[in-house]
Amino acid sequence: MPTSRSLPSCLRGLILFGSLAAVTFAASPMIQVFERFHRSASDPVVDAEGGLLLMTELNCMGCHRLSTPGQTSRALAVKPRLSLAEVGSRLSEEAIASFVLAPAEVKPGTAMPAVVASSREAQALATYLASLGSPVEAVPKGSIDQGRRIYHQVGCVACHAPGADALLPAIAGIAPPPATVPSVPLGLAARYDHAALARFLIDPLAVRPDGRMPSSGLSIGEAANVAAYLQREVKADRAPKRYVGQPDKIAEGRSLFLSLGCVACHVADDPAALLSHTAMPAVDLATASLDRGCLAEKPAGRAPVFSLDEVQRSALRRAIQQVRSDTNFLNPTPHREVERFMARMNCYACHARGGRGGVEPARAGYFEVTDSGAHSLGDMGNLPPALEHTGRKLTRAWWGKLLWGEGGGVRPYMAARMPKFGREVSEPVLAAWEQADRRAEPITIDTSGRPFHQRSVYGRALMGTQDGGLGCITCHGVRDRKSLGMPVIPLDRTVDRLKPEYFKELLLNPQSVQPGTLMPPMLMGRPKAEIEVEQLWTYLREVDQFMLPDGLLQTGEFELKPETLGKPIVFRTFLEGAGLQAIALGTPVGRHAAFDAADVRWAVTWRGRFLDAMTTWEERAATPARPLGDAITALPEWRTLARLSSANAPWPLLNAEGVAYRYKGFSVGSDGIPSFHYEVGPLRVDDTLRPYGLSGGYRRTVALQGGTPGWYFRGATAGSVPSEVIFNPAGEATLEEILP
Amino acid sequence: MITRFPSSHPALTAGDRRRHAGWVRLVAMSLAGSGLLGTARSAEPTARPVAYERIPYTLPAEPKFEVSGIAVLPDGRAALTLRKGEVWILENPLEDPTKARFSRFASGLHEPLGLTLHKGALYTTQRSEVTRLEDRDGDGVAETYETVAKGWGLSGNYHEYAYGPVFDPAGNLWVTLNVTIGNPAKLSGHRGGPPLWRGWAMRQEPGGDLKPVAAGFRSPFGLGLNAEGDVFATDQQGNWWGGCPLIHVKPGRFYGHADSIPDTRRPESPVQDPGTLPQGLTVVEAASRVPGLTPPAVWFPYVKMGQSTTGLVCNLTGGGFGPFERQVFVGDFTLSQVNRVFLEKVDGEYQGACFPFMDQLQSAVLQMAFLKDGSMIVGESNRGWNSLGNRSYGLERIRWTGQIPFEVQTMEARPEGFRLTFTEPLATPLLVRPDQFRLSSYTYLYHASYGSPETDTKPVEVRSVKVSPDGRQVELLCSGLRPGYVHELTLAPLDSITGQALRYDRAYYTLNRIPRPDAVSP
Repeated sequence: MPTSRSLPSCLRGLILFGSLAAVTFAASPMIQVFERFHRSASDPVVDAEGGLLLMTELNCMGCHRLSTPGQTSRALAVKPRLSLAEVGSRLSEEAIASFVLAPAEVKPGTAMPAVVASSREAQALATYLASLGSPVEAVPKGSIDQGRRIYHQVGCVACHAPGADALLPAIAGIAPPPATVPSVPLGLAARYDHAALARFLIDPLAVRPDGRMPSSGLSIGEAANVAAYLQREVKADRAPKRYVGQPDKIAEGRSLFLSLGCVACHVADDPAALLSHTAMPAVDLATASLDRGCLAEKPAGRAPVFSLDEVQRSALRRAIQQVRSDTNFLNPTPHREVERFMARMNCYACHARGGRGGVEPARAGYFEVTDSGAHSLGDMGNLPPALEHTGRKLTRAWWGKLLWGEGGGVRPYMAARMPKFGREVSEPVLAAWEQADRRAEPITIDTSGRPFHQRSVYGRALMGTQDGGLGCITCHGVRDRKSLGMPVIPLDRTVDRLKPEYFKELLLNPQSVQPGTLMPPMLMGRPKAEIEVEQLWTYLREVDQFMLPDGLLQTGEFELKPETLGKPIVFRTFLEGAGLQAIALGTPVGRHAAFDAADVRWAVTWRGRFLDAMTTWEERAATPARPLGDAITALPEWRTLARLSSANAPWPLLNAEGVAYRYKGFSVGSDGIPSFHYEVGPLRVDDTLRPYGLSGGYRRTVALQGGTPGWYFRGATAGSVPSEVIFNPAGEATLEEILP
Repeated sequence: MITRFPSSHPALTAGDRRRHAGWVRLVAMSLAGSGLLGTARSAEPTARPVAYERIPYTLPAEPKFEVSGIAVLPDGRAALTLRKGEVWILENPLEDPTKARFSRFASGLHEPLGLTLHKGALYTTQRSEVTRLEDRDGDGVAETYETVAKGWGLSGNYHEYAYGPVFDPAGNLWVTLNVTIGNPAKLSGHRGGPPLWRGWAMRQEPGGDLKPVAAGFRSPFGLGLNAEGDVFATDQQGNWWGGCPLIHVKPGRFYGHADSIPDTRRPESPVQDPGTLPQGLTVVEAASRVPGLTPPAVWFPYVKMGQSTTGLVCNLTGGGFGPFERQVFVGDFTLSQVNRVFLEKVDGEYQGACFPFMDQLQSAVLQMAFLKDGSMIVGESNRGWNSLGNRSYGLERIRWTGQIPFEVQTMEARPEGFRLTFTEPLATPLLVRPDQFRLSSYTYLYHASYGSPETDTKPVEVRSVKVSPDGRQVELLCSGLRPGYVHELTLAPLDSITGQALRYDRAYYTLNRIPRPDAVSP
């Protein structure tokens, strides 16, 4: 028996990653959707669907033909061929040889069957294939850390395993969701040339037009980082080396490539060679034996060895039987056709539809939001949306942007990216998708707008937050402006993206169309709702040339100006330089300071403009304010009073245990200046800062009560040294210092 | 300024009522997977006297009156916190609402979300502390901003709202704290560490320090007392909360949200570590599996009874607010409404029913309080999220006109079902039939995902009805009651002896416990 056939068929691969580590799979082909929905199915229909999925994913029709009348459908179309035209740039001869010899061993779960009869044949094929390719354009070396972040953030881990170095932190008190879906192995990434891997990641569809590895829109830099991450354990220098084998060996390999039927699934140096494939004997699935050839437990002769396990063989048999007996099997309903498409492309890894699929809970923790305001969108913020009514929702043009074009993503707060699958494989399903999601009762909307140009004016008014507005901008941004509150989908591209009928359906009853949406039923029950929908549509169509709705934020309107007010302003906020319990003091003479009520000390002084309250007053994300002026001076990080054994003893650190500082609040004097009150052990302290002199500076007054000998004071200027406090007989003392 | 509900005619119009009924019906239908524009029968009557009217105040152009806390002063004026950090006094809340006078009392606070009068001074909760405000020189403006309680953690994440305070009859101060959702602020000068006690209720005894009391909250906006002086909190649907709850806050209890669990392991924690939480169980199953997990006293079924509960207030007006004395009223942000709650104790634990009360408010309801004349003042702001009431903020009154509305006044659990007490006797008590009362029960999933559909729904059979001799009470004898489940009641059209139709035909009882026959009065 040839070497390649002697590999133990029960060889099991193990995913060694994270919480998903427990999921093992056989070296049999790993089609994720099959493992997820079909392997344990007892329902014969589900089983046949699983078999059909295997037939497309193993590309049975690459070699077989089907003569049953009426049974020709794209459901069993040949997969677009994987290009090996540049394979020699990606992989070394040795890597190709070992893979061809025992695909399932080298790349567990691969759909590539073993076709060679000996290591000699494998070597010849490798020699030929390694000769294909041209020099790869260099890419940056890439950062492993950046690559790790991108790999886990953009959605790779919907299908592939998270790295062992990026496990989700255990959340206290929550049992981790069980991982049940095996990951798609990363294949030969570790053996790729670095630049070739990066180039592959940028445009995987150029090599694999079947779209099973979609394009995530990585830039060169991102792709180099991800490649560096995927190859993080590879030590060897993998500068591309051009391989030139012996011409006669290359010719032998090329001849094998044709005669072994590789061209059923691959295209190499000469597309015309595909023609020779038609000369191959094609077994007819209408009459073929179901337990011989590829479906035999131990395939004999030259049958390709897919390393199928019994469940897979059984599912394939059931599907073929179904093809033979059920003339509708390959002429599915539109709904079923969408399901099959989503299974083939593994849309289910990210998206749910009809109660099936969506990101597996064990992986959901990797899906993040990029805008903290989106956390309160719940799963809608970080997880890709369900595709329930998508066929009647999106325009054809937008489908095109999403599936093969540019700029289709509309959720800027979501870290995961919608990948591209390629036009060739995805466009054919769109008609069925639209059909499947069609409403029983059609909705009509007048989008002509032209005779009703004033509708645009009304639509703008409805969008705003002024009287009579619906406040759409509370959640939806428009053009370059963020929403006032949570960051949901910006509305600028609405008319390009949504079919108007869907827009109307959604607005009239959001919960019915998108169960779980946070959108209130703003228009429901309004007597003029139908017209108002048309007004909104008209405005959104003209939004690029029209005024923004009233109420969208503009910075600058919320600047606090004590000089205009003519008296001091005391303002609590999160503040750069003074922390989360900052109390800022702005004075009309343009000298400002902030007290940190958490650390109980003066933290920062500055001059000129005071603060902008916009983020504190208006923005849900509550971004910290920052001093607007200049001469921003961070005061030294010590507190002002300590009990020391001597003046030379070390001054306690800010977070030192021991003397407790208790912040007690402040009171505002008749001049509007606050005095801060706190306790330090038995000492009661009033701490006040006032502008001092004409040219700038502050006078700080620290009044103490309850004092006893042994207390030291250290001023709030750099270089200030401790000095002992002298109390009067009543235990009082008043200290002053001048801050620059 | 007020265009939508002119004060000259603030009452519900027939159109308003139809609109209200229509949309509630549609939402209910959409939940059931129904179509776009249904035509189900409305429960609204054709005509009825108006029992409650809404009276919006005309507000100054500046500042934005995003009212987040209300305290009614002994002289009848109403003190209001605004979210931007100020306290204003509404000088004449009972006079012409178009001539409302406001004066600023305090400023520069950090997002205060509650206001209470205690021993003659105003107390508000800012993001990092409870502050006592005092006007010592009598010029109408506070000079003293005294920190009276602090010590919980902050990371600078926007969601770390802090609510309260309230003072219980023993003089203890209570606050509730949101969990952190999302990332900490990126901020120089801030020394981090995981923020302490997020998702907890905290209590400070007079003269003592603030201490953790109960855990498992998510976003417990509402904090207040019921008629007995017990402390209650509302929370928001989201992760770990399938719907919005009303919770009786008891020391040592864990109410369900996981983010507070790490702090249960601190020595100061009075709450037992509930251990690793299961996922995907129903709330009812989880309550029996998770140590210390206490279910809420009342669930507000999602969408049907609001989408995000906010402030709560107990009606102790001595009849000034109509026939709902000693009942609790709870605000809702998204649907801009006020709901009503009847509470009773069964086996020593509170449970009860919620009822719709007043919708179509101007903006997201945040807080309510009762004015001197027994009318309710409602503070509103929808900044950050949207609300059905599409003004950005508002302040209005809900006044009882003196007309008795025909409603289910109370819904009590009985050993074999429920006892409904109506505000007026039924018109035809002898003709009341079991099929006029449709009951079903359901619960929610307990899990880290956002929200939950109604789960494990089953019909409850109403076998027979018993009507009291005075025609005001109907006892429903049922089969299939399930402890722990929300029992949803829908009433057929019923008329009162005065010819009124039911104002609302729905009630939702959270039947945590079924009373034992020997524990109830006949």
